[in-house]
Amino acid sequence: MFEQIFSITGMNLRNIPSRWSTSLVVVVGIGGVVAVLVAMLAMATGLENVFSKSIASDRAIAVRTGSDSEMSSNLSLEAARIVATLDGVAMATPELYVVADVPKKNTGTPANMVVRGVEQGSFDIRPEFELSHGRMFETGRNEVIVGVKALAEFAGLDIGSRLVVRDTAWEVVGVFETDGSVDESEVWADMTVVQSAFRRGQSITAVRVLLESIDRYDSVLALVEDDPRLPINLTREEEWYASQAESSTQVIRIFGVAVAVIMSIGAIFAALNTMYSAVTSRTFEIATLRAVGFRGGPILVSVLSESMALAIVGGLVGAALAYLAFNGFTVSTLSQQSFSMVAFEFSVTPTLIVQSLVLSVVLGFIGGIFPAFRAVFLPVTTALRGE
Amino acid sequence: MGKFQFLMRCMFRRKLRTTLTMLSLITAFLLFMLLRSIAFVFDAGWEGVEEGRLQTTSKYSMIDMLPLTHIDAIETVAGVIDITHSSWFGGVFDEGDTNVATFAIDPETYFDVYSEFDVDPEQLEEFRAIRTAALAPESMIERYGWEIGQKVPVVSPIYPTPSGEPWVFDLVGSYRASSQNDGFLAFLFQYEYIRETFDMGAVGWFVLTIDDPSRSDEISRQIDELFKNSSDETRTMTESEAAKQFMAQLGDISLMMTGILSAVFFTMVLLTTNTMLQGYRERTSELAVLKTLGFTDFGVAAYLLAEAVLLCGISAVIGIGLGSLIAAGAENYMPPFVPVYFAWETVLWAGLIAVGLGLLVGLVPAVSASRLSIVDALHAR
Repeated sequence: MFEQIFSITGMNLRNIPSRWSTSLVVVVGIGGVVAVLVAMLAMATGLENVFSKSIASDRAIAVRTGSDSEMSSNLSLEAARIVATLDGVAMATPELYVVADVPKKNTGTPANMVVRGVEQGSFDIRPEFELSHGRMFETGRNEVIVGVKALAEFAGLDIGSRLVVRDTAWEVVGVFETDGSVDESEVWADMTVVQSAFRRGQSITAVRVLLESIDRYDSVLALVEDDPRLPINLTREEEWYASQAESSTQVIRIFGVAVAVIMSIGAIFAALNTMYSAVTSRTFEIATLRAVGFRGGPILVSVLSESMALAIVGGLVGAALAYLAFNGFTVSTLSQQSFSMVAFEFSVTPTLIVQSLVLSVVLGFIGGIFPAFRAVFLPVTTALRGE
Repeated sequence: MGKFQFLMRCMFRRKLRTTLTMLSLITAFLLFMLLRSIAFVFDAGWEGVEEGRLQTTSKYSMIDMLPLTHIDAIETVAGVIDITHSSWFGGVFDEGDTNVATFAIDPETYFDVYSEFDVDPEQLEEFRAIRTAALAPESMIERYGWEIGQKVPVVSPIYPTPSGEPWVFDLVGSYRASSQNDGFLAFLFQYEYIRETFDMGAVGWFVLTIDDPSRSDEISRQIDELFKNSSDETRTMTESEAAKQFMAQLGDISLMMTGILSAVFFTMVLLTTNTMLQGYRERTSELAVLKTLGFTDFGVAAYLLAEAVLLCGISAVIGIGLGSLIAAGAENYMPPFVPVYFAWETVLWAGLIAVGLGLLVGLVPAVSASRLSIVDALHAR
């Protein structure tokens, strides 16, 4: 039995080169599906990564009650000072999140860039912060430091250049990195300078909180909720960034899967076509095999393995193409919740590649199973008698 | 047997193969319709829609708000007909479903400016009279299964109620866009109702109609001039330009779609050429017989070309039909920023691609057929 399977399958696979043009249809068809699916999912994964990289388990963020992003939040500076005094809080620092229209590098059209007003505490609370070029802005001056991703996405952010926001010129003095987190899409400046340039008075948008330890979150939350002076929502960074990422990545995922499903249907028809013609062109050959005693099972397996082998090749080619073309490719999108540009890199992960190969095997199987049955149930006598 | 009948017979010589090829092609054209219907707005903006309509936002960012008193000043500019204001409310109906647009508007003037929106006069009357009233687009009512007269709770992260409870609106009616060229279909309610509880202080943007679309640049400049050096400077542009700029922020969606479609059609060229070549090889002797009967080289080639074009054409018609149906069905479920837009332009492109694809894949067999020598072909048999 196995001997039969091996010999027919081997024979089929060996003579694929003589039918290369029909076989190529399966490879290209499934390769296309896999390439598109991997690219779309790599985009969603990259966007998720950018948010998940910001997470520290002992940090939390406080915004106004009811707000779901820093964009819609508004707090008093006093709130930050009160939070800092709470039992269980190691550090709390105010931040002001505002948005400025700055032209994007590739299109030249204005896009929403985040300008974050910060105090020394913002750096202390983020050990991942690192000034990679230039120097720190000076307190009280119109100077900014820019995130590496903001530098890549927006025009005119090189060190030494003057950034005009709200008719005020700001000098770019440094470039910072935060280990790939979403902060890198932002531009940071001194809190008081941002407050006055954006006419925000004494107000802030969020309080960053460093807890004394991870398990103090519940007790701090209880203190916040009991304090009438604090109209705030305290959220662990983990949950905060997950909700920020969700609305954006969901759309990409749903879209990517929908397109891949439609393309898969097309690819299945292509594979069916190829395998039917492979079987048809070998009608005589298969009938001969049956006549000399080969059984149906091995013939079925041989047709199926041929189509699945072609599909795997297609899947590998597609995944490789997506990897080469997109992995690490930086793009930016408008975050739906915070209404600002977030830059991120496509990320083709091993899991994605495995998933896409599984998909290509399934497509190959569906494309091969019907032709395989036709080959098995071929009436031997008519086939041998035919031309 | 007529020429067309002959063509159909040739095409379905191998029923299974032709059907499978057609199904693949149909999928490709269906995908084309869907993707282009989405990408269309990203490429074109809302071009052609109410050209004489301008939008005034805060100069620095569309997020900043403007004082309501700006309306009086803008109205004095020559050429301005109607003006209304609108504010982004950021409302959410269900937990987590952020894919809806909710606007706080002026019920008296909104539908004068957005004249393409159809609303029942009685319902509009009620909308104006009841402080807590709301109007929803028909598609939204369908999507959420609402009924006119019911209450709709809405949570807004930007404008929370003092108690933290949701805002509650009375759904008094529905409206629809009279053409597919709709701008933004949003859940609408009275600005005044919100302001009574939550001092918004200002409004999001103004929309105005002008008498002469060709003067839109000039009027825009005049409006912005009015507020120059004030604490609330403005930026005015046509609505379609504003939409285009906003779309550009969402990223290079149109490029992505083009990439996907190129991959799809590359596969299709390969697949269909393969089918045509197989068909050709199987009947070289038949073609030789045709030539013997007096068909010219050109005539035989034309038949093969026509067959390929017909194959692609039929598939395109079915694919475009199915794609349009699905696009129409999906419209209610798309986020407001990603509208599905049916355009005849898209259909035209699909048709052109079908013909081009047909000619391309029919070319090799057609050329071979015209060069076919009768003696060799018949001999080979």
